[in-house]
Amino acid sequence: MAALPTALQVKARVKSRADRADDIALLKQELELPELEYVDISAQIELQKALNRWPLLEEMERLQPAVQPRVHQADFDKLP
Amino acid sequence: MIARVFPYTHLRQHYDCAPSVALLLATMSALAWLLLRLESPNWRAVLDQPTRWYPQLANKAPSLGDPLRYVVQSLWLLLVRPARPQARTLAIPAWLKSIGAAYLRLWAWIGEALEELPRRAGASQQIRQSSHWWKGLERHNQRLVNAAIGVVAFIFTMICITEPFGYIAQLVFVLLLWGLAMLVRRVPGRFPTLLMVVLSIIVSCRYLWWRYTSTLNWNNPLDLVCGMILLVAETYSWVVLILGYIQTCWPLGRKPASLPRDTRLWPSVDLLIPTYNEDLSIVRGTVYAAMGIDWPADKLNIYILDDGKRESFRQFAAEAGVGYITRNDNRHAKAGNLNHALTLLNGELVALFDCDHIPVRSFLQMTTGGFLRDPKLALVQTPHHFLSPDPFERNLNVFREHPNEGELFYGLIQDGNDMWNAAFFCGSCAVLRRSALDSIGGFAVETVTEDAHTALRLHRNGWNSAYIKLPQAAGLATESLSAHIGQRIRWARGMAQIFRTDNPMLGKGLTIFQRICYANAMMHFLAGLPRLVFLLAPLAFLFLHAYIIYAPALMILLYVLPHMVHASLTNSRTQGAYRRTFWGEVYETVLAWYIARPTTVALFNPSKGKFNVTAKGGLMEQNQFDWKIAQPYLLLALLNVAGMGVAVWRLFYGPRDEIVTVVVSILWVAYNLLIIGGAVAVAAEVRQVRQTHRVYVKLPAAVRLESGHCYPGMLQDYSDGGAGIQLDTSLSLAVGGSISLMMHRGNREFVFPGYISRSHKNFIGISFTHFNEQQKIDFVQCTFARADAWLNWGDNYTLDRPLHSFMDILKLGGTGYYRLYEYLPAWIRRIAGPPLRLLRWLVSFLPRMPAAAPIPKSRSVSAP
Amino acid sequence: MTALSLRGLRGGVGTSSLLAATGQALHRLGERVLLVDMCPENLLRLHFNVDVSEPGGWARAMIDGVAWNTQAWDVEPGLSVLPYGRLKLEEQDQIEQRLLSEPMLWDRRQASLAEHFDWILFDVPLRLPGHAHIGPCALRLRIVEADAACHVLIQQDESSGEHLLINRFDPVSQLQRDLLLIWSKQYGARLLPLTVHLDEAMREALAFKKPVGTYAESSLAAQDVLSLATWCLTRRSEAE
Repeated sequence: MAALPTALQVKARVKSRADRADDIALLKQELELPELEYVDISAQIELQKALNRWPLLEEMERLQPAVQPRVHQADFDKLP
Repeated sequence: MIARVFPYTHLRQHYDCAPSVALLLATMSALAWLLLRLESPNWRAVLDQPTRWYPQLANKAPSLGDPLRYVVQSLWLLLVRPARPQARTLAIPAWLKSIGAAYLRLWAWIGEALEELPRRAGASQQIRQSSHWWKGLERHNQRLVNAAIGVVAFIFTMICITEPFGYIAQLVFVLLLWGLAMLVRRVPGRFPTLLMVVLSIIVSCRYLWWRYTSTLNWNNPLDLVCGMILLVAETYSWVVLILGYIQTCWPLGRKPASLPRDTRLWPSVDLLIPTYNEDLSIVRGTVYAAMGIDWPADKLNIYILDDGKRESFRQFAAEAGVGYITRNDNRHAKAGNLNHALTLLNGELVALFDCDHIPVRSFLQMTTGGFLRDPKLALVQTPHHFLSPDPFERNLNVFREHPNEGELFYGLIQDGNDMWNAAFFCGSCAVLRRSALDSIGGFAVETVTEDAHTALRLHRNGWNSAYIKLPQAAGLATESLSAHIGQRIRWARGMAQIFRTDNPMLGKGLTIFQRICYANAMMHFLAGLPRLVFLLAPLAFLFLHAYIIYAPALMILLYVLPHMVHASLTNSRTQGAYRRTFWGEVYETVLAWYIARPTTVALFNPSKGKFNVTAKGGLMEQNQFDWKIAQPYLLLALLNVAGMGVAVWRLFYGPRDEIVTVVVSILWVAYNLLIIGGAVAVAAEVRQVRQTHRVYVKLPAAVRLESGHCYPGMLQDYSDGGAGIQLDTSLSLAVGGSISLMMHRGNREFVFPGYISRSHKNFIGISFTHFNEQQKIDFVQCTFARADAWLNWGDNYTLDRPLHSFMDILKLGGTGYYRLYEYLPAWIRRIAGPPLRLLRWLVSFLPRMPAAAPIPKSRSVSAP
Repeated sequence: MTALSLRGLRGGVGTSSLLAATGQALHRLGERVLLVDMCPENLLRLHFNVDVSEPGGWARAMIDGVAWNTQAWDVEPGLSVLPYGRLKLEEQDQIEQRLLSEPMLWDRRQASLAEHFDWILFDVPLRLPGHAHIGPCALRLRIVEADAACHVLIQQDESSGEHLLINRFDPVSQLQRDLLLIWSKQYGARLLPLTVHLDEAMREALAFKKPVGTYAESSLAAQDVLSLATWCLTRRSEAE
């Protein structure tokens, strides 16, 4: 068993990789404007393309629209 | 050598010393052990870390002068201690800390009270009554009262400035003000800054008044002429200083305004990328990044404006799906290109990027909010950020260690301009309102700096401008010193043309503060002649015996030193984060000769004055010294060296009572020589290793090997066709094997397949050779076009300390001459060799500063 | 003491490996962990180097009439695993009936274990509702893979209070990336903000009879699992 890092060290290190690489979150942090409303349009476009790419997904979407397709929807950026 | 008591055999065998030398050194060593008791713990603590405490002796072959070196270094160690910042904070006694805290609280209270003042004034009964009375006065009476107050203030100021002081009085005055400045220089807040500005203005005004009234020798025409020339140059500096204070005393720090939630209300944007003769590979990145900007697709139109009318560009535009516009002629260069394109487009906003300026994806959302809130807003400008080193940073090897030349302008000056609604257009990384451009007839084509001229016209027509100090695009800096100078000559000429043809101080449409800001921007480019005057001024005394400053040397020091000290303290406070103190001197010296003539000619005749320096394009194949560019610096250096020689002669053979003046002149000449040395250092071009530029960064990423194993790590650098990653573990991988890089952006993850180009312990170099179109776009999106790509560029900058900066400049000067020596032809080196070797031998006896922290014994593993 | 359960949305999504890895990661972060295998396949113990031929386990003990709490293995101080045991099909049905009739059985067992462990991790099987009665469980995770089948199954699934965790995520696959994007939008906070990537090390770890954090500490899967463990710790401190 290799020498274990202390619990504290390990905790600090493993903030999820995705969190540390979220450029919009870092931008808001740098500006000190956490409530800045940013619309991630590239993600929206990709989402739309995703729904159109796969027929099964498209059908599920029609049956139970949980994802609003229109680009100007209000709170897309409020993703947790 | 000290390790053994009598190291005779060690010296003979390991270092091959001559027997007599070895015997002598061994004897001295034995004596030291005997007399000084080198085995005691105090000595052991020092001698066990030779690289730290005796750096010049640790790895050196023993020679005859070593005992003396040891003695000198030991004495030095008794006198000094290495700087240990952590230890220092621990050692402050509690009572001192509480005094410091109370002091800061006092200033915080003062700051709050001053900020409360307007509110309290508004609420106060008395003030309301008096303002009521004021409004009740007739215009005529109001003007009388204003005039009376103005006269009183003026008299008071004039008394302050013009009261002549004797030696003692001046000394006391100077010490008081200096003490006050030193007390407040580290207190955070805007009001201490204003206080320091006021102190500096007082001191500088006094200085100038004294110069005008007491230091010109009207009896002697030579003295008078030389004195007047210097005085005009000093007046120029004074004007620039004062205007600069006004311009930057209150940076606005504007934050991006948010857009409405409904994206249907967002304006339509035409994004234009003008190009002429640049390579397609450069423009590609910009286009891919522009395609990824977060903006509704139906409201963003991207166009390449190709003045070179190249087929490859047209094809690329067709494949990528962006617009392509050309025109029949190439009149008026970039401005004409843009104006032509505007005739074909009708978006509400126009965003401009030079072909190498890569925008990040949040560019439009950060900049366009203001346009919807303020109907008179015509321009939003963002900083020009450079991801590659400019000639100064590359040749002096200070890339990303301290701010570069452009950061003063984009970090502070434009921010200060924004306070007065005078932020101007810089040609790229900006968004303009189409209707505003139409109202002034398009981009200005009359001068070569069409950007500043366009902004001036917009301001004259009542439009507003804004500056957001957030790097949202990055481009390439000038490749070589000659290219850099060529660019500055163009700007200088253009600004002088605008000054002459569309003077901001005259004409209508601008507020007084806008006039000041524009005038200062233009005057900045007239610094060529004054800088040359400063560099040659002491020679007037030394060669011609002309008293340029006709006053006792002591008085000169008492007036000049405070002026310089206050100016540098205040500038360090306002500008320290954006430019290290004294580096401005080097930047100015490099350009002085080259911009002196074009600006002077352009001032007299705006259409004349074509002075072009042919820029060396392409890769710098090897280290070389740019002799052509450096000619002016060498001339100035030679003149100053000759002056130094004459000064030494005067020291011995001149009149007795002039000794102090000669010494002051010597100091001045030495300072000039070192500044010129700095300019010479920049002319020694360092070769460029690679064609594509590497950006150093710290991003979490991961790799996947062919076997299916994945490893997390930190991305260290990326470039157009490759990346370097530091894994958490050491893998020995075969070069040429396939590997994929996994990166996040936002909440999406991307994979980029490539080949291993390097593998060294934890570090892996990956090269990407075969990306399809989508992968190229995604790669740019994950790297250059990240919203946070350029935000923490300055994380490694240390605090500005004027004295340290001064020492750096001095060292730089020395380095410059040394580099020059290296490039001299062999015969010169043969002649100059022996004296230099003698000098080096003498210098080796000087003590060195010990290192701050213990140096680890083993060398740390570092990736190539 | 916090209880955490992992249950696959469909078979073969890697629940047992993930549970073993999470248990080891939590232990590495300083927690005392007990892993309980509720699946008759009895695979969890193999991640901790228990002999394949070993038949013991809590279900085996219940059939044989022996005390169930003597069947655990101590991997390290503070890390223990309680296998299911080798049971024939009828014996499995017997246990299922017993658990259905005594739904509070594991409630009581959890209570008795509370002072000895900070975390009890349950590997819950798919289609044995009796075996799913594990007592109060603060964190319930549903393990899924980002494919079309899971997309449909999540919609059909009735238990919507559970969190979703994507395992074996391969960013090369366009379908997986698309599904991640759609699920982020559709399920919001129900979907964990992290994924466990497809990493050969995870599969190799079982072949080595070790959890992935021990077998390949520097692999991406191990780092992902460590992030998962940190997430669990954060949820626990939020709930307090």
